[in-house]
Amino acid sequence: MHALWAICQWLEHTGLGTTVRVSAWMFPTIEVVHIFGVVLLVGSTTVLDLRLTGLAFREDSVVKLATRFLPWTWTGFALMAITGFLLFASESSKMYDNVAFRIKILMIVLAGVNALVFHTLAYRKVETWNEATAPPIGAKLAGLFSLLLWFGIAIAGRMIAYL
Amino acid sequence: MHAFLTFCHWLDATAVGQAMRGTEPQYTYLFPVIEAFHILGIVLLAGSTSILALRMLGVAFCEDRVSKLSRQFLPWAWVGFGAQLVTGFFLLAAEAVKSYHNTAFWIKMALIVLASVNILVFYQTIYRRVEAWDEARFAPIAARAYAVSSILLWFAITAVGRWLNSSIQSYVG
Repeated sequence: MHALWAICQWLEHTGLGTTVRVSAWMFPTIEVVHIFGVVLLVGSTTVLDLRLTGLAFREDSVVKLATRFLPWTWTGFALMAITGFLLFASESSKMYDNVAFRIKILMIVLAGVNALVFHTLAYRKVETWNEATAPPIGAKLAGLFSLLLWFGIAIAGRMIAYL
Repeated sequence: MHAFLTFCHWLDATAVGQAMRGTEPQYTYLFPVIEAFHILGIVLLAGSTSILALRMLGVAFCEDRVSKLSRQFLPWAWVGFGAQLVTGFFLLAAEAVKSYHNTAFWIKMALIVLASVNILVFYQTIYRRVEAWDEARFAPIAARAYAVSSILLWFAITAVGRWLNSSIQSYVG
């Protein structure tokens, strides 16, 4: 992955990466906004995932909760991608070598794949199980994997600074 | 606060405090893992209270009655608060005395007291008459004042928590 390593080296020496790195207040501020993003993103996915697993919010239909909370998921994701990129840019070569960072990115990709698989399979036929207190097994697994992945992503994220 | 300082000295010296400082190899990553759960607790606590606040401000979730959302999300706020107390205690145990002498720590505690009083007072007073405005898009002005202060406080606590983390870490060699 020499090309990737070269990109990381280049990125942290750009004006953007350098500015965030040398500033006393930028990194902590961006990090706090990154945590606010966690509340938006993981908060909204958790509500939906608890519904899909049949553990909570059963009085509301799946479509209603998805319609209402997914916009927040997207907003949260955008916030995390932007703040995450800025944090990454300030120390990209260190991140390249960081095991926790790599696992975090892998889990984010897996969470995306999980969501995609769910939307193209189980969610296609949601009208048949929209009101069900116990959704079909595919939906339950998607909800469970999503919960575990986002919790794992938060843990891996915190570990980055400690490795 | 002499009693609390004595408590902090005691807490630092406990096995829990030792473990949280991660000097023994099996506990190296205990602190960041507990910290991660503390952040997930923010999601439950700040997330739940913010959902209710946004409803009262007429910004989101307006198809549902305030009392219904309250019934659904308040239990999660309590779970979140419990998680924060437990994980917060473990985090404190790692550097209790340093926390005692840290400005960010006391600001954070004061804000937590404020935020807690805010929500308790709201539910004991303004919320008592919720049937009168349950279905309205905009809650009464007092409820909206509560909502704004709720969001500001829980997010400020998060920011101060991050400040606390970096200022304590800078003591460590």
